[in-house]
Amino acid sequence: MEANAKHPPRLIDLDAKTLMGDDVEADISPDLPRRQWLYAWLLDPNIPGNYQKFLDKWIGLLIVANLFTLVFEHVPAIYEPYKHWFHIFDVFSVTVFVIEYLTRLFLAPEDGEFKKSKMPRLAYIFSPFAIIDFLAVAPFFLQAFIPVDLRALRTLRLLRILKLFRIVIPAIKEYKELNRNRTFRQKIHALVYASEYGGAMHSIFESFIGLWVLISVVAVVLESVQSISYVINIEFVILDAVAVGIFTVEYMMRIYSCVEEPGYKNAISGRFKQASTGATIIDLLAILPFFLEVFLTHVFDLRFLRVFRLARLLKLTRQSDATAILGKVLVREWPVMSASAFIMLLLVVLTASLGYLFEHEAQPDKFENIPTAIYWAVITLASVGYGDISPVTPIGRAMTIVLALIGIGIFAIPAALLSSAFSDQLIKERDALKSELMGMLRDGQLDDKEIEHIRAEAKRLHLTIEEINSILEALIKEQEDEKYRQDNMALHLVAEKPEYAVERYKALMGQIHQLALLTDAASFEEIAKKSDRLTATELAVWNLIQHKTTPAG
Amino acid sequence: MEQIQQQPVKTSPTISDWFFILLVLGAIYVVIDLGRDAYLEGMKTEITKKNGEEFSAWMTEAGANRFKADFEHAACMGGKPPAPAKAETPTAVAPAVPGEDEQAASATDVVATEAPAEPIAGTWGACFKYMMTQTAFKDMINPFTEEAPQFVAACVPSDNSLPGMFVVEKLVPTPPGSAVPMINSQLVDTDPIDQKMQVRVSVCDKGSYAIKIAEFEF
Repeated sequence: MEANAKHPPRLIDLDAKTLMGDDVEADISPDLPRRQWLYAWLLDPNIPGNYQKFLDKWIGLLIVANLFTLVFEHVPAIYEPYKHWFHIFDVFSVTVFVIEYLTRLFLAPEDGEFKKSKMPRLAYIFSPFAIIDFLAVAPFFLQAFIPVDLRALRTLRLLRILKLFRIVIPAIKEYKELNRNRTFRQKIHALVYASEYGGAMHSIFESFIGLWVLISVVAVVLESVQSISYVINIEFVILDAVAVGIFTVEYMMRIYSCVEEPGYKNAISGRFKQASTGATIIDLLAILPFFLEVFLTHVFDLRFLRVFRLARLLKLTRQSDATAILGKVLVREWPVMSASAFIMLLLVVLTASLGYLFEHEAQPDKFENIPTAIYWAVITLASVGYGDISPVTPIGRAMTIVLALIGIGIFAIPAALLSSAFSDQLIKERDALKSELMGMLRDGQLDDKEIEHIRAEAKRLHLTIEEINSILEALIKEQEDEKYRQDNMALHLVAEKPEYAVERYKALMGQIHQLALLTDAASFEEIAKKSDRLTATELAVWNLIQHKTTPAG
Repeated sequence: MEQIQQQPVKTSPTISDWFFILLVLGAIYVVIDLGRDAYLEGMKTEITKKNGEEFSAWMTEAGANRFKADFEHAACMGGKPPAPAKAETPTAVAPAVPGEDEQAASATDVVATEAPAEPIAGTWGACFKYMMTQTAFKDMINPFTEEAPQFVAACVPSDNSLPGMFVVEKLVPTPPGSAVPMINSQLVDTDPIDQKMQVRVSVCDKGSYAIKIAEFEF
């Protein structure tokens, strides 16, 4: 058995931070030699709770930010006015990357990969990652010594993207390991759908798609600003084509590998079923305008389709459950919502008809007909009150006062319904998590899979550490109550449930053990034999326990 | 004893996997090809914009100097009222398109400001003819038609013969308190250019939508 083998935590040992994985503190001795100590804190990937992941994340973000600045530097309208800020950012990035490079170089003798080498630092310098790190900063220093063309320099700066390999390559290795002996389609499935085989690569894939969704949506929004689209229209065209390329490949990967999902096993009907799910229809809508606009541009003016590119934002709903919860709420509350909508419709038509009746003669141009009056009715009942159409007759005004007051109540109903149903749904899901937790803890322990599941659910339901804590406290109390109830339950009730009977038997045996340990065994036996208080069987059981409990001899 | 033979897991791509890979490659090819087309079309709009910018730059510079005695382009000189017309010359006068409602104009309203046989000196027609024959603009081409750019009354999205065309409008300020600050109408051949005027140059993009290039004093 491994010395460091972890036992699943017991409920009593759990607190919310442990459960959510927030309590990991790096176990690094301050007595370590300084270089070793620094390596353990900053770069060692095997010590949970150190700063390695944190640093990797921020370096990764800085690389992505560098990529964006590189793109914007090619747009004179953006680059020229902010040249100075671009330069400051470049200097900042290079400084961070140089510090990172030097730190890794200094700590190379502690790195398992290089420490066996005779010259660990030299081995580090010639390692692929270190070469990439060097290439990322070298062009900056190159310009100080050699007059380098600015365009060439910018191209060389693209090498900074290679630094992302530090994050991607370990993820690829893990992905390969997880998907050993799996088919090509299963590998695709692991990449695009959440599963135990995806690992960090699945997260990178999701982040990549999420990033492109944000980029393309921002581009669509900015494209509508004439002063911006005038300057970088061609960049928007390129960006859109790249985004469509990425989303098209993603769409095809999802359709192809969906048959690995439970419920979608059939090659044709499974794929058709997947294609008709809401999320996949959104995926299709995200790419369709591009193809339609190109193919049908000579038939219709399809510029309006470009607005539908904003549907790409809905792709992010795959990574959020908010819309799913809203959908459930709408389905659940549909009867009440439809009743409320019916009352609203009734009130609108009635108000419009009365408005037309009282105001048409006084203002034939404004209350021209009932449809026009419907517009006025909705604006009045919903408390919007643009004021472009308003009653002028005394009776019309009196009616408006009454209807506006009714409108406040009637129009507020659906909003209130939705809001309370939404919060109810969240409470229900939290209760479901609580009972799930209860079920998992029936054996008094949580295994790693169960902890992972709880973490994911808590994240989905936006539970805070305090809320998790209160759930845990409630569970502990419930378990204690349950135990107390079992201990004090009447014997015939205990006997009805074998699991209770076993527990009661264990408790009784425990008490006998305690008695055997505490009492004077010799006196007990003497009195029991003399007074015939115990039967032979009872005495034999006592002796059996006595022999087991007392030290041999 | 017979050993249970384990079925080896086939992990190499199957025929359907290859079919999928080919499909993905095909899709990427289609997107690249369509993207390239969109890029080339976009570049045509960029060239049109560049044409419009050059045209605006020339007019802006001329606008700043044309009232000076040493202005080199006499046909566009300011301060000289147009000479009285010798005879009634039928000139293609485009109906004014008031306000920003360019799309409301029908395609039939679009009239190229073809220079009359002999435009009257001191008018926009004479200046325009000079610009298009004697200056660098004589070599300018409309990238959508590969011909010299035409000047139209308005860009009309339903008319696909307009991409790459120019729209030159004069902006006349309205009296204080008016709903719109300016009224714009197409600058036509017979318009006198003896006084300073506010001008707007626009070009029609690939979808015949107007792209405003510049507003300046001429």
